[in-house]
Amino acid sequence: MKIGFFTVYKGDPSHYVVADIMIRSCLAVMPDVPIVQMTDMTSPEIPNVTEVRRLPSERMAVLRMRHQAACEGEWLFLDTDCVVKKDVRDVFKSSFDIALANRNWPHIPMTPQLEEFNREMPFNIAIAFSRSPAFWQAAIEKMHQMPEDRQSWMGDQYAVCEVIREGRFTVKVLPGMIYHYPPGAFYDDGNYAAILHYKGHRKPWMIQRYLGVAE
Amino acid sequence: MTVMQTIPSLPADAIRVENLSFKYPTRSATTHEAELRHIEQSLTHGFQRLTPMPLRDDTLSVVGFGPTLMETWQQITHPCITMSGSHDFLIEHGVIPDYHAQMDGREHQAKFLEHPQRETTYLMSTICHPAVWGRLAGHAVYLWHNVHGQHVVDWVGRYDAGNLVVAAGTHIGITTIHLGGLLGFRKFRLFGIDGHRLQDGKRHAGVHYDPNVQRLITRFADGRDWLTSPQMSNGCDEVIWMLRDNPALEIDIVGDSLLAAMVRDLHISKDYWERTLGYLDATWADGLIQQRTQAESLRFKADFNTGTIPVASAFCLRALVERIRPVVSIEIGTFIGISTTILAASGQVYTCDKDNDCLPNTERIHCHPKTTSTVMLERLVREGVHADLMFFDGRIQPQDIALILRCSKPSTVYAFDDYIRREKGVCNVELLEPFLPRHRFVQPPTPERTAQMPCTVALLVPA
Repeated sequence: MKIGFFTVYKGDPSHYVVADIMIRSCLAVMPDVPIVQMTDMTSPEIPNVTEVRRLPSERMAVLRMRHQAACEGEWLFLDTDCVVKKDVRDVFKSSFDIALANRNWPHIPMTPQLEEFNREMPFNIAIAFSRSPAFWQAAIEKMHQMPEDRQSWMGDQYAVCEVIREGRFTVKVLPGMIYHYPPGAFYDDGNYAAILHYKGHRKPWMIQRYLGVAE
Repeated sequence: MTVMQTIPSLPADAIRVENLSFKYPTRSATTHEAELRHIEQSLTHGFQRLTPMPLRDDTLSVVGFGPTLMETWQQITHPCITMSGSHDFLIEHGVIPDYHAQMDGREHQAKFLEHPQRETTYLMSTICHPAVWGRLAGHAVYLWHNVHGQHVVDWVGRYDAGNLVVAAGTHIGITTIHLGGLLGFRKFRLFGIDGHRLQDGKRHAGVHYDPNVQRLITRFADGRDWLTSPQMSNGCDEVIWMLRDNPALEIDIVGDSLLAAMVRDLHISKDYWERTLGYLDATWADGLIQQRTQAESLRFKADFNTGTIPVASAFCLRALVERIRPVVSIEIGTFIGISTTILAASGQVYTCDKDNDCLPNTERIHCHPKTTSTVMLERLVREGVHADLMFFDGRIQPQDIALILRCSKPSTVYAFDDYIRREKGVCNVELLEPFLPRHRFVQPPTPERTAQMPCTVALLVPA
């Protein structure tokens, strides 16, 4: 398995700071797993990556998918604001094209809006196990069919969910409480969680937890 | 003899207008051509000219239209001067302004003058839109030329020579303080000159007619983020520069605003340097000069021959080292090692230079020649090095920030050279400061503290 993450530097260094935390967390539990930085032609390399793959700039969501569509073999694609706590290579013992975690998070308060959102997009692609470049290619094509505004905001998520709904690929659904755990509070590490996702407002928690002097 | 006659005058062709070094680019609200047309038009009405008045001891309330005015207006005392919407705001609240100032050439500004008052003296810039003059007919109006650029100075030199030009700043808030100075005031209380927006995006205490939409940004001051815009943020910087460079000015800011927070930070900066420079020892002078001479002799080795730390900065850094006695320091940007040697006065120094290999290692100095900051910092992370002091005389890369934090401890002091204009010190502080919310920003010391020699070292120190 290789780990791939996508980031482009556009002046906000916080993505680089959390990426450093994410990379070190991966190396702590899977020291021999290659980590690949996927980016544009100019963004700086982040320390401790095995390889940097570059493609010419285009819409961020498309560029990310283009990178992922070029990845043959077994890959774990992670957002930079993730922390890996356990070796997750066992996931690839099952047969699938793509494995994504559900949003079954009992510790996150549910609102009608969130319920509606989860129905429309039952998967978040921040953490994706993949052995199918064709899946990501299909998602790119799906994105291109979307209206402009949809392409730039959550377009990749919509596209992935659409491709999954079409049923052309074998999809394994992983328990979100283990493989995609959003901490509910600053000290919440999720008892059984293998991968934490500090999405949204949780990012400062991640920096504070894992980099001593920062808050 | 009038006050005007006591002020030495400069001919227009001896005045050179320089742009201020703002963090965010600025642009004029009106074209130069329109401004010159407005100036010409304004002089046809026969209004009086503003001239400097004798000094006075009382305090002028300077009233802006920022959101804090809603909570602070009851504290306003006479004499007071308003600007834009604060004119009508005060009238609606039963306070008649003594003075009102305007300097914006856009037409919507005339709407602020729908209720001119007999008791109010109007101090109007000549670049104001022609629509304002009809509104002020029969009122006490004094004109002044606002130096909105070299084009105004040149025009005044050619067509209105001998008259006063006021080079105050880019916004009416700071300009009104300068106008207060011309009225003889040296003490000011500011109301509603905030520099920030409320969380709902509002930036005024009432209706404002400005048609322009400003981009929203956040700015960190006095330990918290403030919602503001590039223009307002620049405006706050202007006031801070004025306060920094004019210590005799007495300005009290009423209300909790971004500007007030920045002034608190400025006072902290002054106090910090006051205490730090108290550690200076006159006997160091010879040693520092000798070190400098020795270091200069290494310049021939440089592959990238560049500038080195200014003398005043070197003394300030030496005083800082004496104050915090760092056991371990990390430096980015060795060059010929002037600052490196200063840092080594109290402990070990790890230093890197991506281009040069000028300085030899010593027992205390561990050079990483021709090595990027990222590579050196990663090595230091692996070795478990934690610094008491970090000195940045090179540009921090985005991938360095996590490494810098990993080499830090809560008590680490971060020093940045070249904190001036948009130089690397400013960029470095902008990159690192958001990740150190428990640290406070300390501006470089004022020239009066450094024998008028420029020191460009800024700090982030534990709060």
